[in-house]
Amino acid sequence: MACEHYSQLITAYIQDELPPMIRQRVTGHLNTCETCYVLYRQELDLVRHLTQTIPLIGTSPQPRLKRVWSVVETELAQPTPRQRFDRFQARYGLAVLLFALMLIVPLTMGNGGVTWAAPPTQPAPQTVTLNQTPTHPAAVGTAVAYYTATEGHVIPDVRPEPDTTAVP
Amino acid sequence: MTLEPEIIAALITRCIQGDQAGFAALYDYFAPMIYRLCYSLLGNQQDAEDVVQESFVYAFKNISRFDSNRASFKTWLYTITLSRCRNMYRRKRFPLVDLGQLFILNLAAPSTETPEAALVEQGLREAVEKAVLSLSPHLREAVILRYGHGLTYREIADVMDCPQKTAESRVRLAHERLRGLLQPSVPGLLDEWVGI
Repeated sequence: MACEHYSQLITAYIQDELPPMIRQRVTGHLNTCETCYVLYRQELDLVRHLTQTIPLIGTSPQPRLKRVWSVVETELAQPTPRQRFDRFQARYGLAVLLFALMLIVPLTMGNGGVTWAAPPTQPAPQTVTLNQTPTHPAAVGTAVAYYTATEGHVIPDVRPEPDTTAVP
Repeated sequence: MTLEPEIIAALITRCIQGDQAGFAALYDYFAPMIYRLCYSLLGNQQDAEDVVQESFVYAFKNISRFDSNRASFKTWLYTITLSRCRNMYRRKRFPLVDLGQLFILNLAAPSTETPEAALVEQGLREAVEKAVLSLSPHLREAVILRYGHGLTYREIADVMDCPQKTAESRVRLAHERLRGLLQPSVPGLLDEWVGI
């Protein structure tokens, strides 16, 4: 646990970025702990080498900075008067458009210019019950059909034919 | 050559007034270090030059927005550059392969006295460069700003737009990764180097 704690402080210790009290404690630990001392040596080595190696990166081949400067100079010479306005347009253009639409659409609708067509109303279902009571004497006692149908359905005419035979 | 902050401030004032010589002086002073930063991060001369150009054009066109109370001009310029380098990673999907080889070829030859020592140093140098390049972008940026440009943790935090503690932990984490990367591939090499 102590070694884990001190190992995290070794980089700052090498770079002399620890407060004096903590630095003193790390020194004491390094004097007594062989594992942390090895780590300290490796870290010291790494820092030295990074400090020597990394600044060399990019120093060769020679960059073409003169050529880059000529491009920069040309770019600087070009006026950019509309730059701020363009940025404003890009950022707020959509918001302004949406806001305008939100204003215009309700006004147009309320002015009678555009009216919504009334939606078709569906009539409530209606039940038609046909109770056909036979009146003809001949039909008395025979089966009678009762029809129940909703509107729009064709009810077959099954009324019995009138009896043409003479009644005694 | 190191420019004093007062001289840089005077040059910035001249730039704001439209003096072309002020821009040229700032460019001459900062361009080599900005190029080195770009090259270290991108590993490609053409990309590095493109980013240098973009960064200076942006910085000079917006130089009136620079606030010396918030950061130094160098930190501001590094922030702009790092942002453009990150854009370049995204555009290019930053190939991590072969860059180590590229860096090795472009480094100056070691100036050691004996051939054996030169060989050891060259081997270690190559190993360290490859290891640095294999770090994730955040860790690589932190290490390069720290050791390649000598920025303080406060400055690294400003440039990378993160808290100072995060900058410190990124450098520490990079150290851990580098130790881990170097030891299995070149056992004992670090110890040899210490003994030179």
